[in-house]
Amino acid sequence: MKILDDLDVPTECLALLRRAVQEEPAAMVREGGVIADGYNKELDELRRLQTHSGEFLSELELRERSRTGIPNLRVAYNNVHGFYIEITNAHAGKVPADYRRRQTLKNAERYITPELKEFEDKALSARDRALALEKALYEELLGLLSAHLPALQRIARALAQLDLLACFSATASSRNYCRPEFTDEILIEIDAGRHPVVEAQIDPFIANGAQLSPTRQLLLITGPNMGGKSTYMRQTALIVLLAHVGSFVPAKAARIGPIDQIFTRVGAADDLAGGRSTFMVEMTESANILHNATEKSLVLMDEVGRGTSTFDGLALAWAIARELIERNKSLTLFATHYFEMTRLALEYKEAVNVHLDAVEHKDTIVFMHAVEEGPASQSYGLQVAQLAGVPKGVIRNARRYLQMLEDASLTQSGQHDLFASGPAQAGTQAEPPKEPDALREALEATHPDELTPREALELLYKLKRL
Amino acid sequence: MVLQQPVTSENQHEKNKMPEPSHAEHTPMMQQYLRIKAQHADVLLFYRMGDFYELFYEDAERASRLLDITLTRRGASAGAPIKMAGVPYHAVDQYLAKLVRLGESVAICEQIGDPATSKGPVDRQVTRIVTPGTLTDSTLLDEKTDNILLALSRTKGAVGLAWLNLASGDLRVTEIAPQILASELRRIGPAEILLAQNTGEDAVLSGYALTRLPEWHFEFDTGRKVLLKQLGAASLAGYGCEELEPAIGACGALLEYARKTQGQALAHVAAVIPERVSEFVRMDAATRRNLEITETLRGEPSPTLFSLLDECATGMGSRLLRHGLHHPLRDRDTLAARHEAVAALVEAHNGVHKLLRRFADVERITGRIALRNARPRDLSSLRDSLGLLPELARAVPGNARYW
Repeated sequence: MKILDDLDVPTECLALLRRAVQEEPAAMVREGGVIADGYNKELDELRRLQTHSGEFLSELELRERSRTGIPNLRVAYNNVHGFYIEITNAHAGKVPADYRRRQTLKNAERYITPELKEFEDKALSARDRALALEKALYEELLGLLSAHLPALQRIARALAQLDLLACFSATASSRNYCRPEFTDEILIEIDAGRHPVVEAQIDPFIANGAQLSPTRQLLLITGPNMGGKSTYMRQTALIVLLAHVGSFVPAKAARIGPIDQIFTRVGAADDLAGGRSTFMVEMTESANILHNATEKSLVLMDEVGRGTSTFDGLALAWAIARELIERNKSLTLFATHYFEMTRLALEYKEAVNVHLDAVEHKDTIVFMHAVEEGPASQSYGLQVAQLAGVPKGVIRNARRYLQMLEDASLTQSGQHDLFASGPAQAGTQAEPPKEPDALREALEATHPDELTPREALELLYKLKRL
Repeated sequence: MVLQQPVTSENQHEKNKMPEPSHAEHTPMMQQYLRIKAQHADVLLFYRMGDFYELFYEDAERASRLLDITLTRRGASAGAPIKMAGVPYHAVDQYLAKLVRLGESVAICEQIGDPATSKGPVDRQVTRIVTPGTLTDSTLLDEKTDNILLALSRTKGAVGLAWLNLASGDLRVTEIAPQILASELRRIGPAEILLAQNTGEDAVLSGYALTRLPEWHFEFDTGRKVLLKQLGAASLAGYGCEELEPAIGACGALLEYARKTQGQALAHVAAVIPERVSEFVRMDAATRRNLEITETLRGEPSPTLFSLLDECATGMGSRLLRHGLHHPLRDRDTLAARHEAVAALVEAHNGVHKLLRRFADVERITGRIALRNARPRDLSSLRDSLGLLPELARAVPGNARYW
């Protein structure tokens, strides 16, 4: 019950604040009106002098009138001479002996008495003195409060913790998170996990589980671009992270073994500021992972090798995956667009293929966002290109070319064998197909330099229709 | 027609340079200014003149560029016109906020004498130095982000780090391998980094506001003395950080710098906590970025894990959340206790948050009390907050073991 203990009222400190500070103090000490009435006798007196000076003066006037018998005796104030008692020359004879002359006018004399002088000193300086005293009292108060710093720090900490716990609790209820369970076995088991940020933006969000353990150490994720591979990998990392922050997690259930590190190698833009290319960044990050990841680490690898040529990239991705399985033994999610990588599962029983599916619907494609066991059947790259608005003629050509590539690779080696046949394929298949087609013919008949802008635009529409 | 001699940029530069303070031809006020400026050569000097803070010479040019304020001239001193730029005193906070965001530091020079009774220029003194890592003023701080000052000291095989949250008084030290400096800086997220003048340029430090101090500020023996004095302790053994020599050197530089900028002792820094890298689930800098924990890949604050989860009722809670997301713990007992507390609050969280919304930022007010710059309304809202504690305690269910 640490938090409740820490929320104990610091009685002395609170009493001091209540005694010392006005209900609604001024914004600045220099304006006055900060220290509460009753906190300091001298300050109270100074304030009384300011607010009660009018009262004092009229009372003095009445008293002096009756003492001297001068009915028009007047007590007043001006900026040059301060407070004075004015007596017209008609009553000059009745002026008492204790009056001191201050100023002579044409038909009146102005006097001061010791009592009035004393009052003047007090009143004139009362405001300044009150302000100075408030400032000193305020400084002193800050000093007195310093004795309570440890208690205040303790309370601040407890408030922050309670606030955060209530925040986690609010999120758990409103977003339907579950309490994660920790285990001593090395594993991550997530049932129907969601990406916390993406699910708040996309409705409906398809939940996906994840099972990782020493016998199911690397999930090789294939599937179409835009199919949700990155989201799936990140949600797994975020669920693990949230569990270790003390929050509930966006899943139906989660069991998590000991985790020492989380690594991600996710497609990034060029590090322009640092002057490093995408590929250099990618390899630097991969090297860091291979050097530091342990069997308790969660590793996300997204499209490793994309930043270089196809075969370099594929070769590197393959070798990195093997290293992660054999030496690092980390729990790994490995997303790739290299279909050849799915053969890793044949070589290592710890590697398992999963895929995100998509179905072709008429001529377009619908992403299922559901993770299924087994490798993806095809990459859907062409459908995505079509979805993105690449002209139909180009898609048609690409489909024909793809068919040729696949036929060639099968006839050459009987199967996709990365290292045996890869480079040879590159050599023989780099030439694009030369068969005639409408688009190419139309383009060849075009002389861009001779077109007016209007003709160019019309041609573009024509090409699009082909 | 007379051709004007073109002014080369070098000449221009000569002209704007700070003159020597000893110049007898300067007006008495400019002599005072130059004397004070000489002690704060590396920062912008805001020199109070009546209702304005004025900047002169190079400072004026720099400030006019950074703040988009008019650069003007003020008479002449020592035969040359004085470049000048100024900001009204009542709006100074917004200008300070802007400068600090740009990584600049500012020395605030106030009139401390009484203009009515002074002969010659009124007495002036630098009362505080505003730097990115030592802010405590609520108008200069982001409510939801901790403001951290960090000092680092390199030795052959290691880097010693010491860092301070001046608002909360939280002081920490650690020693790390140089290779993980980038990720550690990401984790800690300092607003300003102090390092010795002889420390070389390092790509890892680019993008941070750097302040360089003389090397001897980072010496272990000095640091140890400064730290022991701060803690009022005779030995560091009780704090478990005796052997962290470079970190303690850095800690000395850190505490001295913080004290100097505040013009005040750090009454609320009462402990030093050594942090071990192994306490946390480690994430490198790339992972913190890729997972979009507190910043999107484009560097925006939303949508991120933090922006999604932050339903905290106070700045204190939001800051702890931000901190927590970058410091996932490995200690499962602590985590289990937190999960238990979250479960226990399922019924009560609405009521707790409703009450917490009425609380002031007790943490930052406490820091300002310690540094003697709390405002009157800090104290009244602290009083009102403390008065709410019993009600809050009653709203918390009593059946959980909290962390």
